[in-house]
Amino acid sequence: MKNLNHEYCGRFEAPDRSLGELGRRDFLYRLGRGVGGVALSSMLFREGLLGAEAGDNPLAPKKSHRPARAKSCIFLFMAGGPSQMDTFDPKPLLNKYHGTPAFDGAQLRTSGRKLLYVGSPFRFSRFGQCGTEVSDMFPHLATCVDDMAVVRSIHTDSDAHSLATFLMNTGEGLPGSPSLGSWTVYGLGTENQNLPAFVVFPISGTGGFGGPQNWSNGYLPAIYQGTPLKSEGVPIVDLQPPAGTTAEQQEANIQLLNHFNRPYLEGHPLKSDLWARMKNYELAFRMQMTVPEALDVDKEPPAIRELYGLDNKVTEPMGRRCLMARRLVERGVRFVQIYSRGWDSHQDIAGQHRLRGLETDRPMAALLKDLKQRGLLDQTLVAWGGEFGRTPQSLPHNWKAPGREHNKTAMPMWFAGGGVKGGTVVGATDELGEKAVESPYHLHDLHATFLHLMGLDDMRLTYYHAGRFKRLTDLGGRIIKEMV
Amino acid sequence: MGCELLRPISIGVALFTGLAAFAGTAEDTRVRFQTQIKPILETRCLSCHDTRTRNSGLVLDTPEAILRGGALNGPSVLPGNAEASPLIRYLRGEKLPAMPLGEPPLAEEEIGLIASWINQLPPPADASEGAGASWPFTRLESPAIPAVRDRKWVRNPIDALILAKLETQGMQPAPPTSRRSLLRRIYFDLIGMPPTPEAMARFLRNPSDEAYEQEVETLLRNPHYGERWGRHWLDLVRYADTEGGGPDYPRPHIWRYRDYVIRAFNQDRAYDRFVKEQLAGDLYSVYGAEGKLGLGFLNLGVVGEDAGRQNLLVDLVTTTGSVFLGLTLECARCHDHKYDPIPARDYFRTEAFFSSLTVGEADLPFTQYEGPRLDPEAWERRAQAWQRELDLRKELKEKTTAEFLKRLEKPFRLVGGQDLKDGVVPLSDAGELKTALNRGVLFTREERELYRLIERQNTAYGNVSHRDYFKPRVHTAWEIQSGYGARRPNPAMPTTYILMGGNPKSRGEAVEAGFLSALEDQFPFESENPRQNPRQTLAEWISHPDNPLTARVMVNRIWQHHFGEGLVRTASDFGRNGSGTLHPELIDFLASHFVRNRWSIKAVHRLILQSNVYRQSIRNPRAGEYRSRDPDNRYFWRSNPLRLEAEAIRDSILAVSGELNATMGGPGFFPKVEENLLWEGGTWWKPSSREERNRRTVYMWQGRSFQLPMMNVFDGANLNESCWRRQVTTVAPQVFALFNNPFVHEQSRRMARRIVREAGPEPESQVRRAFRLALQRDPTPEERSRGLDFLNRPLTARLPPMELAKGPATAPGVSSDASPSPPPRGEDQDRLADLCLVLLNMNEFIFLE
Repeated sequence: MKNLNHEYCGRFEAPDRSLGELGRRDFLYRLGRGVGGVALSSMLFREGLLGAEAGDNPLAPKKSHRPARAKSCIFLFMAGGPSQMDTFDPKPLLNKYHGTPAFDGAQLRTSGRKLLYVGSPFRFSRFGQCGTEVSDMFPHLATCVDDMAVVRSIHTDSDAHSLATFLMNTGEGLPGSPSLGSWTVYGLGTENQNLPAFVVFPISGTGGFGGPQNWSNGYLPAIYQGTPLKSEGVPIVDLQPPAGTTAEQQEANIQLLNHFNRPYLEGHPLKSDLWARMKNYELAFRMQMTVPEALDVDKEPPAIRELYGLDNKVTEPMGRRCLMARRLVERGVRFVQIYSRGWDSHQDIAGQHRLRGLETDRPMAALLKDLKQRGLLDQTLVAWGGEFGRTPQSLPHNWKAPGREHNKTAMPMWFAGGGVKGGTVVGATDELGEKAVESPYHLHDLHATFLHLMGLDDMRLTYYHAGRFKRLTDLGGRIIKEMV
Repeated sequence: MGCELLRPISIGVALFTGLAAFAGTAEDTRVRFQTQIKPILETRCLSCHDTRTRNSGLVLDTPEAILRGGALNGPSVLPGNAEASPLIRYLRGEKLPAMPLGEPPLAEEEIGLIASWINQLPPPADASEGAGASWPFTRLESPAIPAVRDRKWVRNPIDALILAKLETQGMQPAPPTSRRSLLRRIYFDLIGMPPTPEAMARFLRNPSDEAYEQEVETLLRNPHYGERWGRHWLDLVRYADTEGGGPDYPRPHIWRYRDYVIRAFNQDRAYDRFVKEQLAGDLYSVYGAEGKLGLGFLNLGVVGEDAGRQNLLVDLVTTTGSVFLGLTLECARCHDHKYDPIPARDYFRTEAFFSSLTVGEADLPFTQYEGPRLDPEAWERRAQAWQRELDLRKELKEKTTAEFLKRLEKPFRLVGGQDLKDGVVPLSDAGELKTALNRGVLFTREERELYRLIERQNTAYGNVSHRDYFKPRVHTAWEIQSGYGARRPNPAMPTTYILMGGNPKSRGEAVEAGFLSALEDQFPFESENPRQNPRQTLAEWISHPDNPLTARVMVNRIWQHHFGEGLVRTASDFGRNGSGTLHPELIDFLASHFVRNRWSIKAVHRLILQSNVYRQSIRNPRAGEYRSRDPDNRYFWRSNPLRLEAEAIRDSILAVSGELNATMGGPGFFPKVEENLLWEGGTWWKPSSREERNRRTVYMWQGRSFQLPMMNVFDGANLNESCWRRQVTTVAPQVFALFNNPFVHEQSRRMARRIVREAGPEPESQVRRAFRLALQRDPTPEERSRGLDFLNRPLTARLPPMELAKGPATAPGVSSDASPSPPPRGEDQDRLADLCLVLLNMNEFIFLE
């Protein structure tokens, strides 16, 4: 349960000097009518274009609280909630009780219907030197277990999709708070000013899980919001002007704009901010090249494309995103989140989860292997999980093709790279996989661990909002020390 | 407990001036624990002395803990006496072992800073006797107007109050701004759009004070005023057209509250009545339907998927505290407020005022002030059209689903590579349809997207409770037991309990509705009718002229929107953890004026706009010197330059292009957005007609799960909670929204067409007209020649016709938005359109002097 020791509330007043002006409440007041944040190429600063008057670039790389284990993060988000007992948490006993009504008379919260146990239709085996058990949903991923830490004991606060998704992304069940990626970029800035610092590959299809609010900057300045990228076509909305506008025309326009803007700078109290705004036009123009280039998977050799499954219609969508993610972190992007949809298997867990495995297994394993062979895995934290786990039982009326219900008391997750202790399994659920019983970790603990690996201290990464210093982990989280 | 942060608010008559002086001088010189002391302790001391480690029982992370001290020496500091304080003596090595243990000592400046902090702590005797309530909890009285040296500069008491402070600092105000800037300033401040070139010319011809005052009056009467200032209020009350949370269902009738707010500002409705209407409008029969519309305020919270009643109550207490009282009441939900005199008990006493409340929809005929009333037939047609669309979609879904399902009747083999050797997957019913669609095996991409669109439209708008989208209904509130519209007090109010740690499952003692204890002495309040509905009692208490907070908080907000900064900069936090103010007397002067003038907001505008403080330039010749002493301009030695908000930018573009549709009120319009963005959100989005889309931004549909990128990147309001100020950031995606987005390109072309129409074919007059429209000035000779060069220089490549943005795919059968084709793209107009695009992107266009 959440630690409700209120002495910690006082700690909200702790600003962090390592964050410079940004962590200080003064920052709030300084925003003024002026321009608080200036996203601008650090290159411009190096070139001395802004001179001494330049304000801090809030996206410039910042010193972490402690030596960072990971420089970037790729969060593979399995929207809908993958099942633990069919993926990374084998429960042989469950198969024995297949078809039996739940012992504790477990009922569905909404309808009160009785639930029936469902054995896992997947076979588990041990893999790697560590012998971590993985189901046959993930034959490729299974070859990476020596680099992975599987955590079986994470629990969350809600078993409703949107609330749980908000919780996983922002630590709060209602929208409006900054996401994990926003906090990370707020704390660390980013290495490549020509690319967005925090990018998201959203799922397509009907909403319902809260959409952009999951990569929102919340109460942090807008600079820290996630940029949704499309993996096909023009990757960012309005990155390009309307069709028919040539590069020559754009350059002429920017040139004229610069001429018109220049006299206005003279003696203006916000001179450096206005100058920064002018420079952004050039940066945005350059991004028309840099962003598509960063995402151009056609540049990859055939072997790599095949590794990620780009040659296969089923694996291609996820493969493309995973490969783009690698190209992005390679270029210094701080935080990448990839959504995979369709994990909400209320019925036909055998068929639906199997399909999810087919879609994602090869690309995700390729990502880990590719990062590793490039020496990037050590500095890239890869995380996999959904918004909650699933129950050992199915609704009786789905018995023809049984599935599993939502479960907030246990969920499967794994981590790799970026300082994660590979080959480990953390915590345990009960014999039927219903609830985390051994070393249970709350989702705030998970967030604290995330930040820890990125070199940030969740207690010190604060932002003054609504009368107090807020943080991602609310009253604080424990680090999952077994995996770091 | 005598430390600065927890000074008890005790009974006693406070001498206003003394307290004001305290508040005024304390701010700048006082060492602040949180920002200055705490970081030192954090770095050097807390590893052994925080709440986890507690060596020697000593915790150094809060002033209270420091005063409490450790097991060995008792209190670590003696307030007002740094030299004798154990903390300082250990740090200096006067007491052994020297601290920090085994590490180098603190820097002398750091110890000095801690010592100053200790010395400024009031000695204990002071704190317990005669300290009285401190500002802003003190009684509101109009202050004495100070004498100043430069009396010529003073037009009204605002000037005297500001100038007196400036003179104590040896500073002088900035010279008056130019007439052009002044007119632009009042236009943007009051209506959020620039003056026309003709209005500017007229104003420049007549440099008299009367001309200025005349302009102010005209603008205050302009209906666009309500749209501009209503928007500020909508920010505060977390206005959105959807419920938020995951499904993000529409609140289809909430626009009536939005229109109510705009109307209230335009009519200069007395603020006390405005408050009452929003909290308890249903209970004042004299306010009629307007009162019921005002209750939209109670209906704007975010509804989570697990919508709990406690969520509603937390939202109401939080928002009420922050909007009307400028207090962070929500801090006292889990424990006593750490900084302000608000015990947790007070939080739940406030909550109890709402304990019998429930919110929802009800019928309410359109009033004579509302658009639909004027044309009931048109409204009826919309209702019918809506119903037809719903039926059509439902039918379409059923038909498509049935047809698609037929293809799934027998198991099929998925195509794929080596992974799919045994990839036969049985798919049997509707639940599997999605899987099959996602696979892209049995269906084409178009079919897949069609199905998703249909599904999205059905879930978001086909929701049963919203079938009456175009019926005269309203989002309102009533008492749980008595039902909608009851005015009787309820004998069986649900009991409110103190919830330990804010946890609904952990009930403490029961509490009755009651007012904030911190205000009891300064503002004793007895409800005239004890059997009154509690919500009404709360409304009476907040809107009472003697409530010390209500008027102060509101005038500060008005000031904030004229100057970019409030006098209290944290405009929704007047507490100790907020910014405080250098100008409590000025706030009190404005607040008294406000209350005396029947709570007229326009009266406060007049006063402010009359002052010389307001008319200052953004450039002060001594800025270099002043900036080092007062970098944040808290003394107001110049005007603050302002970047326009997203709405003002968009509205100004429409105004300048000549395309603005000034129609007021009614349901929100949907702008065109890139289709791909929409897949992610839950709300159905169908672009409105071009005419509708060219309305002011305040009428744009505000979806919580999806914001227009332009609103987003230009720091639009966070729609999930009360937003008391817009942030101002400069990020590259703003260029995408203002330089690349098809909307701006379209407006540039329409502006070009307007220029040709108004200025003729002569390039020179076109350039002049473009500058006058966009910036209300003539181009400089340099700008003129650059502009002419630009128009005359041919581009090497011939451009294909520019395509306007395509609207989202529309399901067959659903009428698509047929916007008229764009103006013909003559070659000259292309260059002129680019010139216009450049003008709309100028710093001068989106920054206000």
